[in-house]
Amino acid sequence: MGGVFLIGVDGATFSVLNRLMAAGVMPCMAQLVSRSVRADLISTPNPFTPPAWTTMTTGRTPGNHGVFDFVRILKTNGRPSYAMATSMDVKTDTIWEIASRAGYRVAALNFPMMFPPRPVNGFVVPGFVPWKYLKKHVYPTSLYDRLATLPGFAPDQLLFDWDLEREALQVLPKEKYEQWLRFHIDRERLWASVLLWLMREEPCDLTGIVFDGVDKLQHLCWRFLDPDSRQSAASEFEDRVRELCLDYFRQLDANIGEILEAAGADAWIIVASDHGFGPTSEIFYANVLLHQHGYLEWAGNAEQDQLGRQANEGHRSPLVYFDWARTTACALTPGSNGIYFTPRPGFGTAASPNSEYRTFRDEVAEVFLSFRHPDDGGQVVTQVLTAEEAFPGRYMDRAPDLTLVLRDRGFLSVLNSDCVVRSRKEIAGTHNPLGIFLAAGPGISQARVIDPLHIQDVASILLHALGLDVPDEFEGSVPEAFRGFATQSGPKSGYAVATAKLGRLSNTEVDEDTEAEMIARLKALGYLE
Amino acid sequence: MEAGGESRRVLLSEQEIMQGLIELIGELESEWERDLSKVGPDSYLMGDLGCDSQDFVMLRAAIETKYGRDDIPFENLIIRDGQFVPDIRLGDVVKLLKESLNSSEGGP
Repeated sequence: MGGVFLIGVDGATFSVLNRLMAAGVMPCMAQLVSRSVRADLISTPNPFTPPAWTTMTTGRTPGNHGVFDFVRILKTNGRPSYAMATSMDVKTDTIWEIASRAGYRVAALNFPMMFPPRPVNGFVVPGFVPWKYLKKHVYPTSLYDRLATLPGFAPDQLLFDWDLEREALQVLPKEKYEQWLRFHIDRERLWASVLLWLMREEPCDLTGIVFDGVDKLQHLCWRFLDPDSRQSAASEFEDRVRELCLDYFRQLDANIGEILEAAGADAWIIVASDHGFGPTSEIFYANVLLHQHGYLEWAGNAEQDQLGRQANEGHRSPLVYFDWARTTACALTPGSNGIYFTPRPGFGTAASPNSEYRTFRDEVAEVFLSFRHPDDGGQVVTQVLTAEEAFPGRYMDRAPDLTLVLRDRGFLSVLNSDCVVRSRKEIAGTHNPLGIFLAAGPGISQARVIDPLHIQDVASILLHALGLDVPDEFEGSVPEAFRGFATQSGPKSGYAVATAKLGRLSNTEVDEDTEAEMIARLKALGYLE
Repeated sequence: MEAGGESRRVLLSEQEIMQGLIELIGELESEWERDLSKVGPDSYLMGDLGCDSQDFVMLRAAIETKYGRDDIPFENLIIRDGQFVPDIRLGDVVKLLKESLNSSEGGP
């Protein structure tokens, strides 16, 4: 079959996969590793799903693509505004769009920040959206009716339940573990079925899919996967959960094995994760510390958390937690690990810092860096990154003013509490910067380990594999191990043409002549009417 | 009305915005199979349309995409006096959109 494939495995880390491959749980992955170039993949400065996948699929760092979180936070109106981030927040072209305009056919399944889908020459099934919105938001919309004919297809199994996942990230009751794990085993199988169907019926030049269950499972079940994180002798419950975790990875491995087999020996296969994973053992209440130092005042309705949660339940904005007239800095979301300064007249911004802004920023940073754990005396916040350091670029002002790195790499809590730091009742999983990268295909060395790559390199490698030039504005590069090899020198012939109204983002650096040439090329190839 | 610059050059009437909003609600979600002909400014998103907080998140995203604007201050609708409002009147959404879309500032 051939083509270029990006198999995304959200949160996959070699520290877990190596054990599973050695134990025979993931034979297909082990076989792939044996014929791959392998590297650690350095994630975005805050290793987090929305900015990281967006960097992987745009070749741009977050300050330039504009995505920092699952939400968009704008610093306007005397207090930050807060809304769900969508495909509109991705301010640059994606590899799907770039390849489409060059006449290639693409398919992107379950990637974040693709809702609502932007037109491509091919297919998009967005991920990370509520299932009941799927029917009218696949691309093209006619795709949904075709998917609905697949055996076992159920949209409520393909996309997860936001409420249940939020609960699983925080405090999932023991009696729900088994059901939750089985849901994700079946769900990943369904995504694989959709992909395999597309590969048979609508083969594409560039095909990508994200299996996101690894991330979810590792958040909740890290202590069952990592022998070093076990806190007590195994109980019957723990044995059962661990076995279900292994079943999950067996199924994931089988899914990948089927995709590899269907892709064939001529295909370029890249397996990559958006970030790595590791253990977290404490909850850091960033806003409590800010309150103690006079930067934040709680609103009267801000209850104290006693359960070790990072955010409240539901989909409500955290903006009501604070008395904005008396709040100058706050944390709004756990995943960003970000501190936002309250916008006010005459106060600078990260992009235009004045002396008042810089002084204030230094003071707040020092509050975090100087905090010591009351029990062990250790430094809890090991690094504080300014927006210029972490997210330089055109959209830097949308980034947190400060980004915290905690000593266990955990996510902060935005809630009120009676303490600044609290031990977790159970060790959980959290993101760390080192994800995985594997590449196999014609011309690629086998069983070779290369220096760590940056996540933005993946987009360059994928376009190179298609035989496309890497755009000048891309921030990654094509490592020597892949130079000179490409699966194809142009789009494959004989593919049916999807209706594509291929837009171009206003801030991309392509002039009208180039665009006209591309359109003429697409027309010549029969891709555009 | 296409997304982007058009929204800042053409003044939209409340009637046009209401019509656009009703169309969005109809297009957004397959589960919302309701008689939208009876929907008007005095309809409430939750009480009359059965919208939950997740639906409102999605509706907000759809509005932003439709009009190419990511700076519409929806917080002014959903938070009053530091508290979440229990429900949102469509007429209030229209009023907010009219003020925001017809302003000369903003846009992504």
